[in-house]
Amino acid sequence: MSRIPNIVVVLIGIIFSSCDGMFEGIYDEPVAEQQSEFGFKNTTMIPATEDMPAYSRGWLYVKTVEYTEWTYIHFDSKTFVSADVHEEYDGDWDIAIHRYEVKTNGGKVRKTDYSDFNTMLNKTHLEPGEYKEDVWTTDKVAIDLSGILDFDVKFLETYCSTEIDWVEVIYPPYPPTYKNHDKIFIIKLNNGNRIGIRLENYVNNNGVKAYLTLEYIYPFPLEEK
Amino acid sequence: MRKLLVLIISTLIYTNAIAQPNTDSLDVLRNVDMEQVVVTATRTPRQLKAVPIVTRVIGNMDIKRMDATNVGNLLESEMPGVEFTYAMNQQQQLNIQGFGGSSVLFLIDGERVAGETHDNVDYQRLNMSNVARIEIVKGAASSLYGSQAIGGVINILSQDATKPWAVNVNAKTGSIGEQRYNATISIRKDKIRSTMSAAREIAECIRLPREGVFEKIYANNVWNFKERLKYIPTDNITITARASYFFREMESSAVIFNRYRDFAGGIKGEWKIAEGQNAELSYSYDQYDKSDYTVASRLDIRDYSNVQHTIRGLYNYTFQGKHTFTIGGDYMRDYLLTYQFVNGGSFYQHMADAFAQLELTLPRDWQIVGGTRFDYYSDTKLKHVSSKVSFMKKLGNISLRGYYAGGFKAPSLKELYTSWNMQNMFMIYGNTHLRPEVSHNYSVSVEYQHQNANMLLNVFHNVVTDRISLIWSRAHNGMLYDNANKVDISGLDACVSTRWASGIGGKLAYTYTYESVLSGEPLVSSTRPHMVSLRVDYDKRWQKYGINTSLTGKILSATDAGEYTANTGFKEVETIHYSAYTMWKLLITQRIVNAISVTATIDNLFDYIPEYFHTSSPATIGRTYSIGLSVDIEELWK
Repeated sequence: MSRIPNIVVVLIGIIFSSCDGMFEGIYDEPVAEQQSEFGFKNTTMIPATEDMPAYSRGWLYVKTVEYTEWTYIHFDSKTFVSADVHEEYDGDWDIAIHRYEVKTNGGKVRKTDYSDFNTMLNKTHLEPGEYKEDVWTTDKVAIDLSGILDFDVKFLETYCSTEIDWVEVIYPPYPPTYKNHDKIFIIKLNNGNRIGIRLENYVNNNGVKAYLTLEYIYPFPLEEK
Repeated sequence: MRKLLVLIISTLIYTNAIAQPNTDSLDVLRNVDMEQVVVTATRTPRQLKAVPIVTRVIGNMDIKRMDATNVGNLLESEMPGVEFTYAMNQQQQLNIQGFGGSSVLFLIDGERVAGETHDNVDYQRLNMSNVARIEIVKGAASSLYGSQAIGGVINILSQDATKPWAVNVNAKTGSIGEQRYNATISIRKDKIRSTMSAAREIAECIRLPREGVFEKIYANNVWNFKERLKYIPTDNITITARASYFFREMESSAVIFNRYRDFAGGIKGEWKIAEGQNAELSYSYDQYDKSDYTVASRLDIRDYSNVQHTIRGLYNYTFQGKHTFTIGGDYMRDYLLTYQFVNGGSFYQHMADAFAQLELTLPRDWQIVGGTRFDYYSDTKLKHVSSKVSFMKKLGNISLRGYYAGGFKAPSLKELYTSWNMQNMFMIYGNTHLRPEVSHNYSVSVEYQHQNANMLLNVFHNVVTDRISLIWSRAHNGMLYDNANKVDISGLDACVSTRWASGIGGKLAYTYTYESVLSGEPLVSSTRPHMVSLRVDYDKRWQKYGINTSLTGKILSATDAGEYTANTGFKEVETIHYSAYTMWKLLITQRIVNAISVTATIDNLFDYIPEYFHTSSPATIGRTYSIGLSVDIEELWK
C-alpha cells in the first residue's frame, strides 16, 4: 500500500505529459520538397546495338497540383516549364500536363498493353497499334472547381489526348477515388520521334496528389510491325 | 465449399445420431436471463427484470454463437432495426431506426470511445474478444451520459477472469480471403484477475460483382491488443486497470494506405463504503489517430488525433433497502488535431458535468426514476440541462414501462472549426454559431415474460430539433455545418423469443420506423421503414459433445432516400431507390470434449447482390463461407 502514492504520482505525470496525446514519435514528419527534385532524373543513355538505335531512359518528376497551369515538357532539351492555362506558351514542348490530363504538340498517342519497359524492350519489335490525335474537349481540363458542389465546374476548351488515362478521378461520392491504369503510352511527335512513357506514381513523398513520377524512354527505339 | 458444407452437415447428422443426450447435464441457454445484472440504463447494477428502461442484452453465449468479429457483425445479426452501410471512403456507418452513428453513444466498460470518421466511431476497434455482454439502451440517455446519446447507448462490457487460468485460441478463415486469429489468456489468483487478448484480422480486397458508386471493398488489416487487470485488496475495494492498442490499415489505393490507431488506458477504483453505499472514481485515456502511409516513400504521416482524458466520480446510495440515489460528475478534456483544420492545426475544449438520479420503488410494484444532468462546454460556453423520468409497473408476468428523456448533442470541435479544402475541389466550413442538437424522446413498452418465452412491444416518438448537418451554403460557396430543421422519428419494435429444454429456440423481431421532415426539405436518411429479423436455433449438449445450429435472417424493406449525386449537385437531392432485400446466415457450431469448437458459417445464404451498389447498399458479393476453430486449452486438462 505504501507504493500507491508513487503510482499516483507517476499516473498524474503521465496524464499531464500526454494532454495532447502520446507516441508522436512513431509517425514521420512531412518532408519539405526542394525545387531541385523536380525535372528529368537518372537519365541513362543506352548506346545503339545491332537491333536497336540509341535511346535515353530515365525519370521525370513534375508537380501538377495547380488547376490553372499546364506543365510543358520538352524531351530533347530535358526542360519543363509551368505556365498559366490562359497564356500562349511559345517555348519548345512535346507534351503538356494539367493535373492528370495530357496534350501533345501536334502529336498522336497509342496505349499499349505493356506496363513494364523491360518486358517491352525484350521484344524485337512492337505490335502495330492505332495512334490517336488529340481531340477538342470542353469537359476534361477543369480549371475552376469552386462551384463543384453545384457541379458548376469550369473547364478549359482545349485539345487534349483522350488516350492517356493513367489516372481516373471518380466522383461523386466524395472524396474522389483514384484509379491508376499502369500502361505504357507511345507518343508520336510531329518531328517523327516517339516517346514511351508510363506513370509510376501520382503522389509525392507526403502523399499529396498530383505529383507525377513518370518513367520514359526517348526516342522510343522499337519498330512497330 | 459445397463439399465442405456437405461434409459439415453430414458430420453433424452423424454425430447427432450416435450421441446420447445426457439429460442430467443439459446446459440449455435460458431464453432471456432476466436475473442477470445490467448497469447501463440507470448506472447502477440492476437485475434485467427490474430495470425501468428497456435494455437489450447480447450475452457472451450469443457472441460466441454468432462467431462475430466486431460489434458491427454482431449488432446486425442480433439487433432488429440495425443496418451498417458504407460512408465515404468505405468507413462503416450505422443506422439504428433512424439514428446515425453521431446519435448513438458507444461505450467500452462505460467509457466513451474517442475518434470518428464521418460521425461514426471506428467499429472495427470494438473487437468481440473477451466481451462479457453488450447492453443496448435505445432512446435518449443524455441525462446520464451527456452529449450524443440521443438515439441510445451501446455499452460493451469486458469479461472478468472466472477460472484460475484459462487460455483460448481461435481462428477463422473464409472464402473471400478473410482471416481472424485471436488468443486470450486469463488468470485469477488470490486478489488478482488478469485478462490479456491479442487479435488479428485480415480482409482482402474484394471486387464487387456489379456496377455502383464503389467497385471494390478495400483490403483491411487489423491488430487489437487488450489487457485488463483487476486488483481486489479488500472485500470493499476493487481497482481495475486497463490498456489497449488498436491498429488498422486500409488499402484505399495503390499508392496510399489509410492507417488508424488507438491507444487507450484507464484506472478505476470501486469502493463499497457500507451496505447500500458505493462509490467509483475513474480516469480514462483514449487517443485515436489517423495517418496516411505513402507506399513509395514509406512515410507514415499523421493527420488526425483525438485525445480524450476523462475523470469520473459516481456515488450510489440505497436507502430503505429499495430506493437508490445516484450522483456523479465527469470532467473531460477533448483535444482534436486534424487535416480539416487550418494548416492541420488543433483545438481543445474542457467539458464538465454533474448528474443526479433517484430511483423509487413504490408500493404495488411501481418504480419511478427521475434524473437530470447539467453539462458545460468551455469552448462554446454551452450550458445544457437534460432530464428524464421513467416508470415501470409490474403486473404479474407483465412489465409496463414508459419514459420521457431529453437528449442533446453538443457541437463537436470538428463541427465548430473545420476549414478544409477538399482535395482542391471545394471548401467545408465549421460554424462557431452552432446550437446543440436537442431531442425529446417518449416511449412506452409492454413486456411479457414467461419461463420459455419473452414478448416485448415498444413504441417511441422522438422530436429532434436543430440537427447539426453539413449543408450547402451559398454565402460561403461551400459546405457548412449548420442547424437544420427538426425531424420526427417515430416507430415501434416488437420482439418474441423463446427457448425450450429440448434445445430449440427462436426469436422474431419487427421494427417500424417513420421519419418526417418539414415539407420541402430533403430527407437524406436511408432508413428502411420495415425490418424483420428472425433466428431459429437448436442448442444441445451432451457429456463430451455439443451442437448449436443457428439460422438467422433479416428482411429489410425498400426505401427512397435523397442523395447528392452527379446529376444534382449539392443544392438538391436525387431520389435513390434502395430495393428491399433479405440476408440470411447459417451457423453450425460443434463443441467437442467441452474444449474445442468448430463453427461453419454460410453468410448471405440466398446469394443476394444489389442490382447497383449505391452509397448505402449492403456491401456484399453474394454467398460466402467461413470456418472457425476455437480451443479452450485449460479444458483439455480436465
